[in-house]
Amino acid sequence: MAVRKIERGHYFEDFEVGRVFKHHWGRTINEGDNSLFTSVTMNFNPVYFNREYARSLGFNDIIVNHMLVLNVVFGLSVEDLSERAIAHLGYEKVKFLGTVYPGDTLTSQSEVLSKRDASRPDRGVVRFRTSGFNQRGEKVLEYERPVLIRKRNPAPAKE
Amino acid sequence: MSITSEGSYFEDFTVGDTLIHQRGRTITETDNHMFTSLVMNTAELHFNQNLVEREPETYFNGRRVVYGGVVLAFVVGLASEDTSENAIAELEMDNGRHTNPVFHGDTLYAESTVLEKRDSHRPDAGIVKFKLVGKRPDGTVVVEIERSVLIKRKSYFLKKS
Repeated sequence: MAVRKIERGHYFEDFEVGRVFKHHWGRTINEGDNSLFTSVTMNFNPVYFNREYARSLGFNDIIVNHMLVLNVVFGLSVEDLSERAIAHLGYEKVKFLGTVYPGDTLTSQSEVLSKRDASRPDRGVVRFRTSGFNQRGEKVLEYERPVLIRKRNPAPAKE
Repeated sequence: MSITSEGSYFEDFTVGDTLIHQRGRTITETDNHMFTSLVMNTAELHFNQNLVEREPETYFNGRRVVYGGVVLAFVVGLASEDTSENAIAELEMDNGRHTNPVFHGDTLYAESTVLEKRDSHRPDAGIVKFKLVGKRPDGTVVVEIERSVLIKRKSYFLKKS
């Protein structure tokens, strides 16, 4: 019999430049996800919510809101990359590379590009490149993001 | 009445113009919790009040901060009717920064400045690059990002038959 606390997430020290994370779970984005996200964020591009209009532009169906694609690929990466983050600082070189339809299944993976100390001793900045793929292995999204992450063992504060 | 307005085609954007989007949006606790969970973001600083109260010096004086992806999605939403109602796709984003945190109850507004227009590889659409900014009512910028959008051409879609 044992009682143990199971901890999730990584600290600054855990990120070695070049390390690749294949993130867990994957996620099938269904029509409800897309409809909810698009409606509540008031995104008024009908390609996201009017099937006949989307078809008139040559799409097979309603397409998944690009911001939802970004957020799902991002969300899948959080436990590995930023569950211990103090702040998510930004987005760079975001490229939407393919159309995502309701019913598509996305997976996510990331590489550690660089890391550096921050001004306070208990934290550092790690830069990642994350890619999202559909069920056929086609890359649908790529971006970089710098994240401010806690250290497991903060260096002593400077005088 | 057409499905999309006639004022937001590729031809309607002028480089250098800034569009101030009328509507604001108060970001609620529900918005933050629902979307953080919907996309399976497990970073507790967005949804565990006990954690942030235990370590207020690390976590925004004991407040849950709204997940940045939600902030960006709402700001894109606020800009959408004026900038991407006639979009075929979002193509790229770059130099995005969360310059200030957003907390439950904060109201956001959006502005878009047209940075660049260029042809795309397809005859029916061109690319417009916007600088999108999300602000609080006092003008404090919370997010800014460059956003390139593929937008339908009026000359192709509204030509007289």
